[in-house]
Amino acid sequence: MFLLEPKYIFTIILLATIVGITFATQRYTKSTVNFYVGGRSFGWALNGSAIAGDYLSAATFLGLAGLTFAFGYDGIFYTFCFSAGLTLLTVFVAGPLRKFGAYTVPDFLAQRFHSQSARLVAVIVVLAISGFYAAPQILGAAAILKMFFGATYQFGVLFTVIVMVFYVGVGGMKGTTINQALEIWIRFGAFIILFAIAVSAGYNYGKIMELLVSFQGAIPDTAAIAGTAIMHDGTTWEWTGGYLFKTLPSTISILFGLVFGTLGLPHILLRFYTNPSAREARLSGLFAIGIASVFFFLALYLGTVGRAVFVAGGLPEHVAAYFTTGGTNMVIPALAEALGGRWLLGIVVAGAFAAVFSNLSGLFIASTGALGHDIYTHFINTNADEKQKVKAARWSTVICGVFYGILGLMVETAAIGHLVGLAFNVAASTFAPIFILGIWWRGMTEKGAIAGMLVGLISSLYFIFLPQFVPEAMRFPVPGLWTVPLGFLAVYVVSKIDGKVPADVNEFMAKIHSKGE
Amino acid sequence: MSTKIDYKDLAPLDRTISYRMSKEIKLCLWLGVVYLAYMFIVPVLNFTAPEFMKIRVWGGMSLTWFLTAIGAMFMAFAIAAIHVYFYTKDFFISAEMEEKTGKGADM
Repeated sequence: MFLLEPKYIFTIILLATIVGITFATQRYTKSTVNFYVGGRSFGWALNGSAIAGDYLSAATFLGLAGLTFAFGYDGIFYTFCFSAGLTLLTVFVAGPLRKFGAYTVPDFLAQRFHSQSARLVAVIVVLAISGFYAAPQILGAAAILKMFFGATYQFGVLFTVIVMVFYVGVGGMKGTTINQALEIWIRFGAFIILFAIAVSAGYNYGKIMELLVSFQGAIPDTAAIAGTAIMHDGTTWEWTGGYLFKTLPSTISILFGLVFGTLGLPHILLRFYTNPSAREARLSGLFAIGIASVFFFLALYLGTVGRAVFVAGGLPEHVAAYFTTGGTNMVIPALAEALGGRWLLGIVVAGAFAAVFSNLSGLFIASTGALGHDIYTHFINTNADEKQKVKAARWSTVICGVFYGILGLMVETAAIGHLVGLAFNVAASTFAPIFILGIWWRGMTEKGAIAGMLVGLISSLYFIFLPQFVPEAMRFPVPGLWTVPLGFLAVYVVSKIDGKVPADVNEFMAKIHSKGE
Repeated sequence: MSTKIDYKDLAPLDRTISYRMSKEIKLCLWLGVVYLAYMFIVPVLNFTAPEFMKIRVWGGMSLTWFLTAIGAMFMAFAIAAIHVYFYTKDFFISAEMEEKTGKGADM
């Protein structure tokens, strides 16, 4: 019976656990402070796990090892770019942001400048970033359902959206956080098991690199599966230029976009509101970085082991086919089956779902807050009572589900990595300048903030979607080298010209930089 | 709607807050600069000093592979850990002690 297949067993256990946690936490969603920020009650271990769960998406769980497998050094350099953002976020932003204490990212701007215009622009930016980020996650979930369970792409999108609407709409921030924390440890556990099996099988990192660097020629058994033999050239595989990083300016541009992008991701920023204190917020960030660092290390090691296993040949035909024709995202499942059989494959499939759900739920919470809190209670019904606000939050979850579902259907053939890169670039060019300068510079004005967000957003969209109107030397896959400095410059120049700061800016600074928890 | 005033007419920050901000931003900038220098120097050296970055450090693993796939993960954690250590331990205690001596800066 097919339900006794390990991939079904582990996936059903995961879904049942999500449902259980969601219903168990339902009673904590009766007020807005509980629905949006979980009553600001999460300790550093729980929130740090949830931040890591938010950050380490399916693209990380499956994609980074796959990129390393396929492109060698350029795959690990892509990961290198992603690994930096959480550190800068913890150092520059986490503590003060918690001391400010609000519900959503637009709240920060609205209260810093007492401006509803700034709030509205921030909502647009939140929805743009979340849309760019959520669409590829839904695509990833639908692709997993298609590959492992034979579902259609459309069913995959619908199923994912329904699970997410239930998960966030019923469980609120409390349920989402506990689920995210559980889910990061599921996929972390899958990686640890794979790592232990690989090490015990003798895959010494230095030795497998020696094998891979010295090998040149046709990979055994690939001609029968792929039509023509797949070639491996160790000297080019271990060096830069095989993927996105072909020139130094292009490399620096991607680095800019991805490093600063994390500082502006709304679903990560708002997690710092959920700690009881600034100290806990900083420790949450540190704990998340610890998890992410080990996770990234394992992903890159496993991608390298996958390449070594593949190059050595002698795999069962269906496993070799996963590596050969399944695209780069199949490397971890293929390696799991090659080293640990179908039970380990089952855990990895459940881990992949956990990754998608965890990341998507964070994006749902961020967008739900932007619609239900920022738009409904500040523009549509300013006299809403607590019950109406919570109801608006739940309906916002449904609206977000429809919005993300449509986006998911539109991007069936898009490249997941590219869309995530674009989300990071928009975040890096809009919210990163706003938060860094807004927290540390009293001279930032309302007009400067709005100008910074608009310039960052419009320039990102221009460079991304109209590259034909950009000089060839300035065209990069992630245009952060141009758009991030433009965002910072727009805030600074317009603020200097405007010169009108809120009269209570000193009180604001005292609030976010004062001593105490 | 809050009133707005010219930045040049803004009263100086409270001395203690000013001092704390000054002290923390200096630490943040130091850590940020060191970290970003690491992040940017790796690709710059890849393109300008490829032979150096291809030195073998562990079996077949090159220096650049080690710095990118292993060193960067330690670096990310170390920078954040140093910041959190100063924040949670004696950074602000010493800041307050120094504040009593009259040091400080306006932000």
